[in-house]
Amino acid sequence: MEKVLELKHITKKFGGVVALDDVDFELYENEIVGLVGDNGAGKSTLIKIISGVYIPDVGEIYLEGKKVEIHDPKDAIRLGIETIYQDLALFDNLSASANIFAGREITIGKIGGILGWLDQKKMDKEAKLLIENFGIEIRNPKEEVRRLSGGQRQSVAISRSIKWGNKVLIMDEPTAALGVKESGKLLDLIRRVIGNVKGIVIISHNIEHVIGIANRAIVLRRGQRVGSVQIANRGDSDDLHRELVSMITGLRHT
Amino acid sequence: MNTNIILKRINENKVIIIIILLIILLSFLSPVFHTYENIVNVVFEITVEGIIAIGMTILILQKNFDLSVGSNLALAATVAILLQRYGPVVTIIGAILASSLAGLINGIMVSYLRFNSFVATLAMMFFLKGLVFYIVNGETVKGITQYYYKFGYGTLLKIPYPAIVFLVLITVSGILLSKTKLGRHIYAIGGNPIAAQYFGINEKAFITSSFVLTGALCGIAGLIIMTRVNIASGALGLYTNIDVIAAVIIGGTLFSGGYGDLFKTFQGILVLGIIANGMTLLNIQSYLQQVIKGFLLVLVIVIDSIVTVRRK
Amino acid sequence: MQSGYKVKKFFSSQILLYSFILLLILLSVFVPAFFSARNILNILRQASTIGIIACAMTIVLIGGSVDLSVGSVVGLSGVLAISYLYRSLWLAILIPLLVAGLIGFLNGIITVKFKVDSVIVTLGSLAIIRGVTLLYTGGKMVDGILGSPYMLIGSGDFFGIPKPVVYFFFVALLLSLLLHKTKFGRQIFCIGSNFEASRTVGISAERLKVITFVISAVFAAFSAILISSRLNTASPLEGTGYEFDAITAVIVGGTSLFGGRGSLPKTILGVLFLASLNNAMILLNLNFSFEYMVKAFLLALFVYLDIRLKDI
Repeated sequence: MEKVLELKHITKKFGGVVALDDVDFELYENEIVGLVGDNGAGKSTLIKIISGVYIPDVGEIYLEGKKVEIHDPKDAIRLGIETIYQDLALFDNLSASANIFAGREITIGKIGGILGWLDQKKMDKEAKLLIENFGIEIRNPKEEVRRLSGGQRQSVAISRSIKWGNKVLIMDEPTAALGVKESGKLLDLIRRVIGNVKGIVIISHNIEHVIGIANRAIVLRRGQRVGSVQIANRGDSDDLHRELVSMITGLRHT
Repeated sequence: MNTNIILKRINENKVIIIIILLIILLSFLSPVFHTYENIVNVVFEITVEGIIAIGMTILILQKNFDLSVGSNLALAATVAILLQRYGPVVTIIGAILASSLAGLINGIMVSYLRFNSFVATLAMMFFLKGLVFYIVNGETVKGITQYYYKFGYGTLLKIPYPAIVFLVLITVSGILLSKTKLGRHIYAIGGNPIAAQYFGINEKAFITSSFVLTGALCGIAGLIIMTRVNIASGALGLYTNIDVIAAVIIGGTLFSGGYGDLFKTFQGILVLGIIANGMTLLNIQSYLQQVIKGFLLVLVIVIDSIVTVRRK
Repeated sequence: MQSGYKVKKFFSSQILLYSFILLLILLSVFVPAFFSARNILNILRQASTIGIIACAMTIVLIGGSVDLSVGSVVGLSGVLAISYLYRSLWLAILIPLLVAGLIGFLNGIITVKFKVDSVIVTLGSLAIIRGVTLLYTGGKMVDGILGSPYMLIGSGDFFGIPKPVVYFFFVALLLSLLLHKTKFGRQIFCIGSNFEASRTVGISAERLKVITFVISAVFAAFSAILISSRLNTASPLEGTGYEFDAITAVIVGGTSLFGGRGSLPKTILGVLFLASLNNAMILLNLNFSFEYMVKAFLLALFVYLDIRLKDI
């Protein structure tokens, strides 16, 4: 299988602190990879390097086999890498449709550039389709996203990223602020969405969720890569759970 | 690394540096600068706005501010002149009470009704302005008796009474702010309001009290003005809100809250007072004062921003 | 529960409209003189000055900033226009607009590049520009050339409607379409709602913010040209307080000071509402001081209602 995204020998230091130490990372086509590790393991730093917020001190990034330079978030977006951070970066008092099309609004005709006349109907229609496609229930797409539940807001953020980014989708702790039922719905959504992108990376603290959704997990501890664990063919087992925990914490359980 | 530290030190003390430079400069440029009379002039300049600045500092530390201080000042002065025939006690209490009441309403709007400072104090500013115009139109509001005149221009050990009031107020407030739990709470509210709540700080009470305090200080300032100015008019205090906010910010208290102190504000008030005085001595047009004040304000926040960003 | 929410939402968004209708009903009973054609045109004419500024201010506010310098820009622009009238008609129009544009640009750049609060920056500009204007004219008014075609810009009417009203109408129309129907306008809402998120999705957030300041200043200059062409004279103190009046109208119209939400048509309604109220008070022979107090009360009332009804 092809590697959609590959990072080799990534090292990143902040002052005297080594956040990442010679870390490799790979994402295969159609894969959902869970990036796990305890606090301070380096997960956040790694995805910030992928999304262009940080530049690695050492190491290379390959997208679909080709070496790429990602110097800022706009580079990442241009390459088709979309990141959804915990705060979702939504416009609270705008509608779902306005959020999805923020910055890339559809205008009537090609004239005018930024002064172009908004094609509200088209945007609403497409937004509705996108949302329905993913089976998200949003009563009124014209409603301010402020009024939506945590899970629905996540869906709007995901819909936005999927629409514009088609290579890699990165999600930072998507289920962290959600309850049990909403987390379930969100994981379902992610499963449905994998067909629209080449690969998904999910950071999560919640091992249950990772086991539930990911094909594979990559474990970091204290800035180093501990290993990669296949999840897909393992089924549900305490073994898997224990193995992951011991890799994360570095302690052996008997 | 080292340049950053040096820059930081300079940035923290930029106002004192400017003050010292100005004093040196003006001593050369004007033979009158160092005289007793002139220093008294400077002190006069800074007393009224200085007193209000105490309250403004406390407000800004909590991420609020008060646009109505100028009108409140006018109100206090007007009330004071109106009440003077009833004797000093009534006059003083009346003026301070009126101003504090305005402050109380500001405080309630901001903390309990959840208005933001801008709108609440803007509305109050309009209201007080109208009120003062109304009062002044009707009655003859002018003329102060000798009694008050003596206070305004009298001195104790060669220091004008108003200045003593100011110095006492700012010293006491400064100590309260920096050394007591009360003061800590104020910084907490401005720096991290959510954490402040968790610590059981009654944010609403603090904010309301701060506005009441500012109002009361406007009352005191109004009384002082009343002892020196013969007539109350709606034009009183027209630019006061800008001047006081400028002084506090130039002094180094951050508009974003949580950082600053009364000593800094004193510097801000002092530097603006010296500039005003210097320009009068050198016969420079007073309009230039406005320009320089505005320029300093912007310069200070820009420099502060650059130094802060550089450190990162 | 659902229908209750919908009813409240509908009511809250139209509260200004209902208040206005209520006002008109009350006026028809108590102040019938209000409804003469001459009076209505008078109201509209007086409303146009602040109206144009308020329309531009709406854009700034929705974009998440505040521009307190517009009043001073009005003063400077009027003075520049009349001064250059002696050289050429075109310069009289162009220079103020260009200078205003430059001022707006500077306001914007400083706010954006140094990440400092627009309140402080524009407060500084307010002082600087007013001071410069006063310096330039030496405090005096500047008189224009009698009979100059310049006067035709703002005085007289187009088919019975005072020219300023016509300009106001077109400005209102233009800016409404810009804000609510174009990509540009939508992105202004975005940067006001969440500046950082806007940059994440590729919006040129910084550039847009600067543009809002330019728009504000340029339209303030335009308003000044209308005023000075009608009066054929310019005062360096013209425009004092306009920024607060404009902001009041915008807030009464329902735009939030925090950015990201608002409506230009509602701002216009706010302007008309306040102007009507003013006019009614004059017709009722009420002291002009009431104007201030009523404005204050309305401001507080509308903000209160906005806050209460916002979080249902």
